[in-house]
Amino acid sequence: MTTEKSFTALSTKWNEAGNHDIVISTRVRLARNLVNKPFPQRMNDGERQQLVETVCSAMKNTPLGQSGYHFFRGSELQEEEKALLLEKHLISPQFAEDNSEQGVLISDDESIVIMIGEEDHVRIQSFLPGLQLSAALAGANQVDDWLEQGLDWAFDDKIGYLTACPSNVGTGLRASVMVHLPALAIMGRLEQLFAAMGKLGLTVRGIFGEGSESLGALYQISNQVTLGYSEEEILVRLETVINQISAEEEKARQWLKEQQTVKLHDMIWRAYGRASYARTLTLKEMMNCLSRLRLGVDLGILEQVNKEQLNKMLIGGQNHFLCKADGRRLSSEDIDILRASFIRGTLREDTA
Amino acid sequence: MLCEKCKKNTATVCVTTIINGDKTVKNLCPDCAGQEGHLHMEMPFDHDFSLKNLWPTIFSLGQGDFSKQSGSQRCPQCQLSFQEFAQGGRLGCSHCYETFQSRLESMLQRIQGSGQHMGKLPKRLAGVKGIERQIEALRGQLQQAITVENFELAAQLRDEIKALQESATRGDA
Repeated sequence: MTTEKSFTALSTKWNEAGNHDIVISTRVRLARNLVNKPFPQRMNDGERQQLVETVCSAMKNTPLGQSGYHFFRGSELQEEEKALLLEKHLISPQFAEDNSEQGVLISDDESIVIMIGEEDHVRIQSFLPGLQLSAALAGANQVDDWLEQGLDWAFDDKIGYLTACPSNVGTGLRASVMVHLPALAIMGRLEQLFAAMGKLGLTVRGIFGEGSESLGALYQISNQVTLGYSEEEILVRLETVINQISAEEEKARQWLKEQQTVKLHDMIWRAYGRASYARTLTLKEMMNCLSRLRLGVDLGILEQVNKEQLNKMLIGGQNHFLCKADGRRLSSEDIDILRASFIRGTLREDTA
Repeated sequence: MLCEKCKKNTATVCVTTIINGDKTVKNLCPDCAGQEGHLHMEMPFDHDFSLKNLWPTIFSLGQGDFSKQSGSQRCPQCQLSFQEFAQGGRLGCSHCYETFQSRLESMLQRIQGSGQHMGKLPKRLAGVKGIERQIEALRGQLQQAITVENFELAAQLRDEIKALQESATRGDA
């Protein structure tokens, strides 16, 4: 394991291929803060540095500290490196943009990522492929238990774990599931569905977190309410809704397959044609192509492509990963050319 | 905007068609779009669902005079004023919850629903708090048992509660 892996490997824990299709991945994060310390936003650089040291030394004595992980000090990370971690969804946009003292700890298999000095002192994140809410919570809880042996968390009997934003108070839990909903998007059903989700205390966002737009029919669905329910109850609610959405998407896919066969096939094969032969591809175009290809693979229409390739393209085709692989800083036109060539190359890999 | 085809329903689907380089954009309702068999439909997704941006709005709901009232009140620990919080949506430290308790409470109820934490407890509190929760749960069951006149179960539950209460006062977990 080299330090570089997080910045070069096109695979990560949540991206591991499996037999899940509509639900791509699960992320659970717990927000925790130390007692008697201002929240990061109100800390000066010295205090932030101390915070990073305190959390790091608590981590060293835990089983995670003794097995494999890498720790990066925010100030040591290049802007490009943060962008790479962001493209892998391992850190938040807010963390990537912040240039003050902070730290990020990434387990070797990238299933656990701890951000220190983001909005809260500590944000423990646990990533898994497919729909695995309980397992992801168990992973984050384990780390919380370990850290708690050396750290005193700010906690109130009535309102639970205290966080910088009251929208996280209580459990400090945000469980987020990445879903791929191309059929519902094609049929224009998403808006209704998303409106209903708001009423159930859930939030829908694009794949790059708060405020980001949807790319390639990928959405993140997460709990909004963090207080008044146990962690397990929050997960059960989310899982129930995710299962319903999956069933709706599945129905829509079957309907398209049976009632709009030619159009569906045409759409998928056109995307395959574009991906295989285009000489330039914007990020949006690529994400849309990948969405159609994934739909084709899921429905058994497209046998030329497999999930490993799709997952690899999903990360490797992002701007900073392309630049990293090329070793240069590129203009956006050059990135689009490089992206097309990367996609062509990856699609050709498995034809044997 | 009304649907360009039926001119009745609200247009929520924007259909972009490009034929030989000629681009046409039609705003349709989902029904008409479906009838026309459009499959290349992109959902508009320019809503920002994030709570952060809604914060000032949530705050002003029902308490529009908060800034006049005592917006200048400051947390003794971190010096954050309530007004700063209302604008930025972030508290300064864990003591802010105490400092601004009364106003936070009503807001928490609006965004979070029930105000009692039911989740994980820090290890240092898990013993005593855990027992309190068990007692609370058993009391519920006891009430249930009495309602259905299952007195045998009720007696058993009562004993369990008593035992737990005793262990709580002894302070063991």
